[in-house]
Amino acid sequence: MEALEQTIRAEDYASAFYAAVSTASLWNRREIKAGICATLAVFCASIIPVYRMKFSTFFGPICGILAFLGLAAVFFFLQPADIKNGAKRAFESNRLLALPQKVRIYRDSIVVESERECFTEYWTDFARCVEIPGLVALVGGRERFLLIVKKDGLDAAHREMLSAFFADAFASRYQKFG
Amino acid sequence: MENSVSVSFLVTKSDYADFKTAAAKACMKKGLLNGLRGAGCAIVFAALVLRAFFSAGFTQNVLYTLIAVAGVLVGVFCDVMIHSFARWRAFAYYEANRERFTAQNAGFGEQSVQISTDRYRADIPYEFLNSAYEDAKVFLLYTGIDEVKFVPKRSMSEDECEQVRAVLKKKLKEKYHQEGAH
Repeated sequence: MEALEQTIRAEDYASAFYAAVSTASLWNRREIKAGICATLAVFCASIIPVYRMKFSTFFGPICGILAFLGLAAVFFFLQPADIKNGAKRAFESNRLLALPQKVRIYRDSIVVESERECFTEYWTDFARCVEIPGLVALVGGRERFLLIVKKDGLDAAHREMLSAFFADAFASRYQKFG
Repeated sequence: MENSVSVSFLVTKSDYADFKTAAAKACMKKGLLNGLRGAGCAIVFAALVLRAFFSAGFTQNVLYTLIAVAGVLVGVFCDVMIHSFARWRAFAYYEANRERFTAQNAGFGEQSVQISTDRYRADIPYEFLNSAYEDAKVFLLYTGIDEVKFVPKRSMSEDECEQVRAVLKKKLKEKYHQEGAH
């Protein structure tokens, strides 16, 4: 059994939420979406000679290039910031999330206790486990969609042990980034 | 602390569907609904104008009629369609995740709401609630903009519903919304 005390901040929740959402599938990754748009922009550039032969102008492909490059910038820079801001708003609207918590990690479950709540989730309840620098996000639980276990304040050996434990508990549902 | 109202219930498929329908109603802003109604009217008007001035054959008349029907659906039945869709999704989710729906206890005291299941226990002061919503079938208690607990009215008597309504009105004031409640 592992016992941790933590207080989740808005930045932690935003990072965890973004990690949970962006890793749900390949198509959610900003690199993939921006890459597809950049590829389409290159395609538009490649059809300029043909387009020019037919229409004596390259206005259409230029509009396409600008539109797809703009979309790539939106997907790569603006959308992640928007998702994180939305997550911060959700966190700030829910006072239960900001309460200091005591987290007890067992072989088959996790117990989270605060001044106002106490709940148990089994590893099998979660859809995925995403580990990023600083925290572990448990996604899709029964009582709460996103459960966060912070790694702040733990030494390197302890963090390694926690990573190995979650990798073992979640198997193919475990992902680590950074 | 003794609760003024205490209820126990097992979440059924209908309860979950009622909850999701109420949540859909709660998040539908009046401006959006009016916007959809306006858009529906505009689509019907556009279809009538096209039919009157640009009709060139049977196929186009059928197309304009379909556009008008789409306008009627958007303008008149948008909320019915949204609620039906929410209900259908709720039924599907319930069937796929039956094990997640267990017996619950809810208690409405003077200062806080107590909610408990086999794995969850909470004592939530009313000032912690982001908002509350009531329709004909359920009470929704929003602990955050994206997190909500619900209590089906079928688990309470009329008097208990009145007591809950009164305490929510008193404690939440403008954060308490009603829709279609009786």
